[in-house]
Amino acid sequence: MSVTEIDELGFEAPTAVGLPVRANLPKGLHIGPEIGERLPDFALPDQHGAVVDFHADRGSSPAVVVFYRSAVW
Amino acid sequence: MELRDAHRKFSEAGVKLYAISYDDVAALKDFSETYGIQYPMLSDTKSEAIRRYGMLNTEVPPGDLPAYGVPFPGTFVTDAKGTVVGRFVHDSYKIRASPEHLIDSIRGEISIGASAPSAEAGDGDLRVRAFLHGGRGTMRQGILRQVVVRFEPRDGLELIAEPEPEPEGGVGTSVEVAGPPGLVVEDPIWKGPRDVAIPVYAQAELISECRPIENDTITIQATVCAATRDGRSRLAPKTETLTLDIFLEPVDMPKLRFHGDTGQRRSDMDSEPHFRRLVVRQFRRHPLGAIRSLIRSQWKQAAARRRGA
Repeated sequence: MSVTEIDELGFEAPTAVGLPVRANLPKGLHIGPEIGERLPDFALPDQHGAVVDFHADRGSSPAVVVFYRSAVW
Repeated sequence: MELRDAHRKFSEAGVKLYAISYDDVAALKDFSETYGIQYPMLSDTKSEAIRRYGMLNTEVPPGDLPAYGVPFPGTFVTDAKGTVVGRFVHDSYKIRASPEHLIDSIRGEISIGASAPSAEAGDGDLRVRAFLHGGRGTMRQGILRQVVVRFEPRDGLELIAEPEPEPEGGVGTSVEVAGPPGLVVEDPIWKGPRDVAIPVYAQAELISECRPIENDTITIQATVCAATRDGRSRLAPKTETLTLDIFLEPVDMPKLRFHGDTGQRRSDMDSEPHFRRLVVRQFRRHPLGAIRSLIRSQWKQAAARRRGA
């Protein structure tokens, strides 16, 4: 009885295509900082509750910043 | 878990790793302890950093349960000064780069792990090797791997990568990758004079979170036509076919009632309490939006069932 549908990019999920949870990046939309820009700073708590100040924490190391939807669902 | 498994490679390369989502600290603590995550998982419950980076998924209306506030997934790579040197943003939220490719983009070269699936062909003039580069060398739903083809011409022989202009004319070296239906093959990218990477990923026809995998191995074939030059004279092009036998991995699914049981890999973490807190959080901030989204969701799911989804 549960729904399964394949979206326009060929991926399947147990929800109707067209629900916001399945929203893909609109075609042609360019998001996020560009190559050559400095990454914006942020101060957020980590999994231990300690606040991490991004550029301060990074110091003089290269970094990889991963944005993902959820560790829960 | 590949990001976790690759963390050592990031550390060895002197690269700091940060992961940002809208989950609360309690959820991230549980996840991090369940899986032994050693890099910071940052909690952006108000989506402030997500917005500041321009990554907010604007296709999701305010209050929409559960997704309002999530980012479009994306990864940014910086140099030592904090300047962006690589961006990995994809059309589908299910497509992500392998962690190894992120490291490659910082180091400026492809570093293939010892356990990557490989195949070899060629002769005394030219050896050709193909690898599946990324993660554990398996295919997973949506995760980009690279078929990397490396050319090793003997001393004195040079590989002609690009087609040559007139008046000499002459073809360059071509690589074509083929696999079963559901394997998406993107255009080759030359990563050096003798290395070419062909990005590939698995769509629903091959691996889907909605159905168990029937056959868990596939073959990926790379057909190479190599143009070489010995001093001033071109040699006849060499064609080689390399075959990689690749395992398919099931999808990692959270332990949530909603997902039912479709033969995928179930998380060790119970997401229910975290999901409940998330729903309460969303409701408190946008009660009308949340109610609208529940109604919309019922409506659209019912419509999908009517069309036989």
